[in-house]
Parts: sequence; C-alpha cells; structure tokens
Amino acid sequence: MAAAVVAAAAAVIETPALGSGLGYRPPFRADLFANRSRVDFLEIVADHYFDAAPEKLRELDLLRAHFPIVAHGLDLSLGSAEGIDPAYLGKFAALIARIEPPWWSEHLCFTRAGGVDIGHLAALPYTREAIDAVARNVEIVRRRIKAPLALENITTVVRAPGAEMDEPEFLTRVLDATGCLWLCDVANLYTNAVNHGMDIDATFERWPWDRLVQIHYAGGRWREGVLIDSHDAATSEAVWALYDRVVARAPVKGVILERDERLPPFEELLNEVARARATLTECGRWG
Amino acid sequence: MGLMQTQALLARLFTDARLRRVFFEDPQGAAQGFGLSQEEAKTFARLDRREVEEFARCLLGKRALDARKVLPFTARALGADFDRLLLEAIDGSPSRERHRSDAAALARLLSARASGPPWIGDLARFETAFASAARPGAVILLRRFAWPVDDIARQLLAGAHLHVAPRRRLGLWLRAPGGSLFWRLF
Repeated sequence: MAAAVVAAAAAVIETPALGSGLGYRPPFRADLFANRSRVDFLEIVADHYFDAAPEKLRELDLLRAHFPIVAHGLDLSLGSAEGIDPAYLGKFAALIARIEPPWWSEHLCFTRAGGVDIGHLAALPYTREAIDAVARNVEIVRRRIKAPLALENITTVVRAPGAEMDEPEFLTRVLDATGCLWLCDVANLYTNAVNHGMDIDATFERWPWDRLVQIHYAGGRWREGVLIDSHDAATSEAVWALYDRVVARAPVKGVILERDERLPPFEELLNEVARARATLTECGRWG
Repeated sequence: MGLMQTQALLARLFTDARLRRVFFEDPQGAAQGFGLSQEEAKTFARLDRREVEEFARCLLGKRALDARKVLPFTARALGADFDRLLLEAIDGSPSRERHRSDAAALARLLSARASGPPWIGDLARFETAFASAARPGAVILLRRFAWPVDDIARQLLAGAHLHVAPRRRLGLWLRAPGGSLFWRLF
C-alpha cells in the first residue's frame, strides 16, 4: 500500500466532522430547502448524476451551494475479479472532480460478473483472493480519483461459498490492503446479525472501528422470516441502540439517514436526523 | 475455484430463474457442468437455495421499484398489477440502464395487449418519453397518442375517477445540447 494512500486516509480522519445528514432524494427537495438549518450535510447517489440531463446537474450545483456533500456509488463493482468498468469509473471521476467531496464511498461487493449486470449488491466470498481483487481495483480507482474512498459493508443475503474468514476479519483485511476508510452501515450490520444468527456482542471489538469515517442508518422490514434492508421504514430501536454504541466507540465524522421508499412527512426524517445528531453531540463527535 | 468463475456463476444464478431450477435439482452435478472440479463443485453446492431465491426476489423487487419511479402514473393506474406485468415484460438480467429499459419493456407490453384500460399503453409511452429525454445532449422525440395522456395523468394525480374519451395527441420533446428540456402535447 502506497504511503500516499495511508496519508490520504489519515488526513480525512483529521478533517472537520460533517454532522448529521440525509441521503438526498428528489421528492423532498422543497422540504429540504425549507429546513436547511436542520440538515448538516447531504449524501448524493453518484449514479443518479452520470449521463445526467442539464436539469439534474443544475440540481446538483444547487445542492452543493447550500450543503456539504459526499458522494455514494452503487455500481463500481469493486469486488469484481474481472476488474472494473473504465467508462463507469470515468463518469465517477468526473462527478468527484465536480463536487470535490471530503471523501466518497462505494460498497464492498460485486455487481457485475461474466457479462451479467446483477443490478444489486452481491456479497463477496470472504477469501484472500477476493481481498486481492478489491485491492487491485481500488488501486486502479485511485489513479483516477484522489479523494479518500470509504467502503461500505453490505447486507449479505447470499453467503458465497468457500469463506476463509468471517466478515469482521474480511473487512479489516480489505481496509488494511487498500488503505480505505470504512462507511459502517449499522442497519446492514444488524440485519446480517439477525438473518445469519451472529452475535454482535461477541464480534463487536473485532470490527475496524479506527477506520470508521461515516455511518449509514435506516429502517427495514420483515418478509417471510427474513429482515430486509428496505430503507422504507423508520429506524428501529435495535438499530438505534447499535448506532449509539458505534458512535460512542468510533471516531465517526458524519452520519446519514438512508430513506428511499415510502417517504414519510419530512418532519419525521428531520426527527431521525436530530436523534442521530444528539448522540454525536453527547459523544463529542459534533458541535 | 477461481473468484472470476465463482462470481460469473453466482451472477447467472441470481438473474436466471431457469438456471436456478436446473442448478438446485443437482447442485454438484450442475456446478461440474460449468467446468468446476469435483472438489470445487462440492464447495459451491453448499450454496443455500433459500438465500439465492430470496436474493433473486430482491433483485426483481428493485427493478419493480425503479420502474415505478419512471412510470408513476402507470403504476398508480395499474395498482397491484404493475409488478406482475413488469415481470412478464422483462426477460433476463437487467441492463445498465435498467430503469429506462425495463419501463420501455413494460410500455411495449401494455401497448401490445388488449386487456386493462385502453389508454394504459399510451400513458406508459408518455412517461417513458420523459425518461428517454432525460439525457445529456440534443433530444428530439415525437410520440403519437390515441388518448389525452396529459388529462389522464392529471386525473390520476388528483385521485379522481377517470373520465376520458379517445383524442389524438402528438407529443414533442426537444432539447438543444446543454439546454433545458422543452415538451408539449399538441
């Protein structure tokens, strides 16, 4: 791992905190601007601004003029053994150059393989070979995008066969191999623990908390005995409890509420953002 | 087993219902059929069928959600039938621009089918025109409709009981490079 990578990762840990924010969704744009002071920063879905119409890019410039922004990608497929799509990376690099975020993020997963676009985040096998693939891809990404990259833990619906380690070890080794930061999705952490019968308490200290820069939280729903990270409900008390524990433990710089579907009255989202901010403040991470 | 082969097989299993059926009838044999060694196939056969089916269902659910965002009025008009018809319309793994291509596939199906409200195909084509126009660069789109799709959309938005009669409309969507979208129904 290049010294510059370590330095870049260390630098972002030293950057000022961004506070408690929202994953931006166009339907609540008017409410957002009417309540600007109650949202500290925004996270945009990077893919929504690739090949975008001028109206969409003007929207992005407007958001950027009023809020600190970080970008979050969906389809870079950093875990693909066949490498990453250079055209997609080029679009991502252009977006990052346009908005100059303090960091940006992608999922630790693969979304493409063998000529098939899966269309969603698929879990990597927890193997050394997968770690090497991610490291190779991140190195290519870094040649185009200098801003620090945070990797997000995903919800694992399908456990890929052939695992050589568990998820905390896999994530830690990936971050060590790449010098990336960690975007901890506490809802995903909780969902995996529930669906796969894992004990969060037993593994809590084995997660790479010193690399944490950002948190995602959201609500999910049960479907036929499986907890789904549907981002379409209020954050559950169990996820809030985990969130509080993580914020107390780790040097987080920004937290984002992800709400994609069944959008409630905007006040309800603001209440969740305020609830998340209160923990940040109590733990000395903000304010 | 190489990561590349593992991921390729997983990607196909996630997106191909026929392959899933064949695979889970005899996982080890099917995996060997994909060129995996006996030992590799044994490892791969540990794949949990319930998990794979659940993930496949999630993928289709995501596609339906994305298509609903492109076709909000069509979704409102079709109600619970929207997802069923979408799943009929789409075939195979999603494309990179799936929100547009899936919506277009549904619009084609609705236009070709005689069932449902007679204007539903026009409404879906009206909405997909906006998705097609939401691109950088120049846009010129012309669409002919047999129904007053703007009136239909307005009534759906208001939640009113629909009162519409056939009326020919011509839709035009225009954008100069770097400019704003102009559209009008004549």
